[in-house]
Amino acid sequence: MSAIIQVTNLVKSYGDFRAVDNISFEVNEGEVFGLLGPNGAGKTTTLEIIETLNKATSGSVFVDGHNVAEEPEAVQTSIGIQLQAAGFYPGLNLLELLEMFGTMYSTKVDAMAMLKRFNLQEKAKNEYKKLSGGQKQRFSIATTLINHPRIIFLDEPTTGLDPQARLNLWELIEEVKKEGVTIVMTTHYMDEAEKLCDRLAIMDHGKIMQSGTPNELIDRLLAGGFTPHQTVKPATLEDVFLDLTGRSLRES
Amino acid sequence: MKANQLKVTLGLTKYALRSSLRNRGSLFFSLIFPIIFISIFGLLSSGSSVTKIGITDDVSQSSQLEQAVIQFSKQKDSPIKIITGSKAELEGQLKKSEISAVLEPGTAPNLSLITSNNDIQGGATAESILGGIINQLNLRSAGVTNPPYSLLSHELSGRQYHYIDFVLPGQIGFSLISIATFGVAFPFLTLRKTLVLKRIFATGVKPIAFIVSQGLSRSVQAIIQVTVLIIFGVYAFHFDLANGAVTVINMLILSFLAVIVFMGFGLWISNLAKDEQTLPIALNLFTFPQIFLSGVFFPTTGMPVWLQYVGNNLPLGYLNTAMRHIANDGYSFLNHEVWPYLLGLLAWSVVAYFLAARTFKSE
Repeated sequence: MSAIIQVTNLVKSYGDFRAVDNISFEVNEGEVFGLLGPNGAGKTTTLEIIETLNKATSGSVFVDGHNVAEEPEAVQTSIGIQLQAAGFYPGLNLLELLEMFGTMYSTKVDAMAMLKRFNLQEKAKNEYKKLSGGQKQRFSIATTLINHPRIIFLDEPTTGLDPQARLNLWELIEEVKKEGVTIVMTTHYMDEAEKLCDRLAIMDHGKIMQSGTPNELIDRLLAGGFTPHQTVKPATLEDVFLDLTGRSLRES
Repeated sequence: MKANQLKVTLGLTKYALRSSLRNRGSLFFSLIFPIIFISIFGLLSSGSSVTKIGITDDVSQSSQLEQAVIQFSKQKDSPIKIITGSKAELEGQLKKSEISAVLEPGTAPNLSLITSNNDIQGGATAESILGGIINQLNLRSAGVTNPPYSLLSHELSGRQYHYIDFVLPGQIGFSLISIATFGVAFPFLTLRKTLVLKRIFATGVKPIAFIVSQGLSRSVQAIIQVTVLIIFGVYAFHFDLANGAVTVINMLILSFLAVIVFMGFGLWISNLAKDEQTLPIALNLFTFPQIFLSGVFFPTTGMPVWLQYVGNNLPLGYLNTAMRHIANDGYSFLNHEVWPYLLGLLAWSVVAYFLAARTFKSE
C-alpha cells in the first residue's frame, strides 16, 4: 500500500506555544487512520493543516501527491471534511444542503440517492437542526462524499451518540472504507479506535507518542511489563447495555 | 476558473435567497416596523394644523376686536380655533401647550396676548394672525378703504409636499440599513460559530464569492421589501411618486446599491463582535445615530449646523438625500444632482469593505 498522506516534520506555533511539535506520519491508501489524544493534544490543528484550513509554521504535508501549502485547491478537490460539532447553512432542508454543496464543488449531485444511502430519505425535507444526533452525524458524513473524494476526515464523529447510533455509524464508516475511500478520524473512544482503525497515532502536547496498529500498540505496552488494574471480564458494560436495549437504531 | 466562481456565486445566491425568504418571521418583522412608523407618522400629519387661541370670559363681548377674531375663526378652513374659558383655565392650558396663546383684557380698547415659551412657533403664528386682523380694523377705523400697499400671498403651484413624502423615503432608508446590518451581522456570526463558513471555504469556494452571494440575496430581499413599502405608502397615505414608474425603478436600484454599501458595515461589525450579547450593542451604536441624525423621521434643518453637517455626511444621510431627490424631486441616476450622494455612499463603502476585509475571519 502506498502513502496517500505524508506529514513530515510538521510544526504549528502560536507565539511561544507549539500546538503541533515536529510530527511526522503517513496514512496509507484505503485504510482507516485514527488520531487519538486528550483534548488540546493538537489533533484538530493537525487535521486542519492537512485539510488546507490552517497554515503550517514549518514542515511539509502532501495529500494525494499535492503539497497542501502550494496547491490547496487541488487538495480540496480530493478530500471531504466533517468538522467537529459543525452546523449547516440555516433555513435549507437536507436535499437543498446537498445540492448547495454540489454547487460549491461544481459537481452534479443525486441528493436523494445520497440520502437513501445514509438512510435519511424520510428526512429529505427536514432542516438539519431537526435531526437526531445520529442522523446529524450520518448527514455530515454524507456531505463529505459529495465531491467523490479519495480521503475523508471525520473529527469525533460519534461523540454524544447513544450506543445504538454509534454502532450504526461504525457500520457506515466501514461501508465507506469498503469503497476504497481513505478515512482519517479522531476519537476519544478507545473501543471505537480499536474496532475501526487499521492504524493509529496517539498524540499529546503536540507530539506523536506512538503509532502503529491497535494490536502493535497493545503488545508494546504489555512487553514493557504492564499489569492491568483488574482482570478483564469476557463481557463489557456496553455488552450489557446492548443486550438489554437491543442493537437496533433508535430514532424519532 | 473565473467563470466557474461566477456560477458558484449565483448558485449560492439562490440558496441564500431561498433560506432568507423562507424565514417568514424575520421577513415579517423587517417590514412591520417601517409600516408601523409610516402609519403613525402618516396619521399624525394628516390632522390639519390649526392654531388654538384662548379668549378669556371677561373679554367684553362687544369688543370689536374680539368679534373680528371670532368672525375670522368661523371662516371656512380658518387657521385659528377659539377656545373660551376662565383666565386661570386658559393659562393652565397654555402652560401645557394645549393652546398657543391667550387673549386677555388689557387697558381698553386694547387686548393683551399672552404666549408661552413652550410653543414659540404657535405663539408667533397667533400673534401674526391677530396682528393682521388688527391692521384691517385699524385701516377701517382710519377710513382707508383702498390701502396703497398690500401683500398678496400665493401657494407655490404644482406638487403638494406632504409629510408622507418626507417620511416614506426615510423609512425605506431605515429598512435598508436594518436589512444590511442586523440582517447580515447576526447570520454571519452564527455561520462562523457553527463552523459553516469554515466548511464552505473548505470546498474551495472563495470568501469573496460567498460574500457577494450574501449581498445579492439581501439586495433582492430589499427590493421586495421596498416595493411593499412604496405600494403601502401610495395606497394607504397617497405617497406621491414624482415620475411614477420611473421613480419607482430608480428607488429600487438605489435600494439595491444601498444594501451592498451598508452590508460592508454589517460584515465589519459582525467581525468585531465576540458573541450574541455584544453584537446588538455594536449594531445599535452604528445605526442609532444615523436614524436620528440623518433625517429618517424628521428633517435635520432644526439641528445645529455642525450636527446637520455630521448627519448629512453619514452613510444613511447620503442615502436619504439621494432617495428624496429621486422620490420627491423626480431625479434619476442620470441627474448630476444625485451624483455627489452616490459618490458619498461609494466612499463609505470603500471604508466599510476595507475594515471588513481587514477583520475578516471564518470562525
